[in-house]
Amino acid sequence: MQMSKSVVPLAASGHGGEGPGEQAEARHFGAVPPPARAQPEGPRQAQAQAQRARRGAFVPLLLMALALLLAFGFQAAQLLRERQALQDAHAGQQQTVDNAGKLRASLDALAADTQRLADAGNANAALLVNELRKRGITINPAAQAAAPAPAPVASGTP
Amino acid sequence: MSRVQHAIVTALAALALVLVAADLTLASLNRGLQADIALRQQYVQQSVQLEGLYREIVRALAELGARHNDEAVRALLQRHGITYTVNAPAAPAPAPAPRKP
Repeated sequence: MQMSKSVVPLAASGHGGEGPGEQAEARHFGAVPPPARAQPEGPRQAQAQAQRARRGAFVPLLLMALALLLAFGFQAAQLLRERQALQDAHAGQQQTVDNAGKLRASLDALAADTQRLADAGNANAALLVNELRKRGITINPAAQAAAPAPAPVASGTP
Repeated sequence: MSRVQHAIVTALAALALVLVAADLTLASLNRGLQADIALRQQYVQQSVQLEGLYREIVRALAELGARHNDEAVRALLQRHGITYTVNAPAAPAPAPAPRKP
């Protein structure tokens, strides 16, 4: 008896992942008559489709990961540029802030000395202190002594 | 998905996660820096208003000290690096010479 050695071509394969068991299965299917051969290919096609589906998940995932990388990378670059601009602005403010601090320290010291002079009985200093008090500005020399530079001595609206 | 593909996707996803963490950190740092800049700007603007008050106090002390010849006030201003000079009163204009007929 002569057996047919025809091998069924793997129409939906497109991959080289078949093992020897699958080749034997293909030979087995090739031995059956054509009308009966169509039935066993159903699970094979389903399996091939499942494999294709599993392999096809890589591309969408890759695209999604690349899109996320681009989006977050762009945002990080923008935030870095913004941070650089903010640091430049902060450094540009330094001289102005230093001058403002010196001015405040001078004002605090002058006001405190004037208050002390008024307390000592100087009429001109007392006149100035009273005028300032009428405008709502009170001088506290103790606060100036406690916190030299930043603490405001003169309070109220000038 | 093969092992290589799985590794590629996993590495990309991990990189995206790192970028998200970096973005969050940078945003938080930028917000703090922005608040600091706004605070310093407010400090400078308040100091500009105080500069007017400082000038008024100095002018008033100098005028009072000069008008009443107050040495204590003059010394106070000198301690703060402010000196003033009192201008001598202008001499009266000489009378016009009588015309000779």
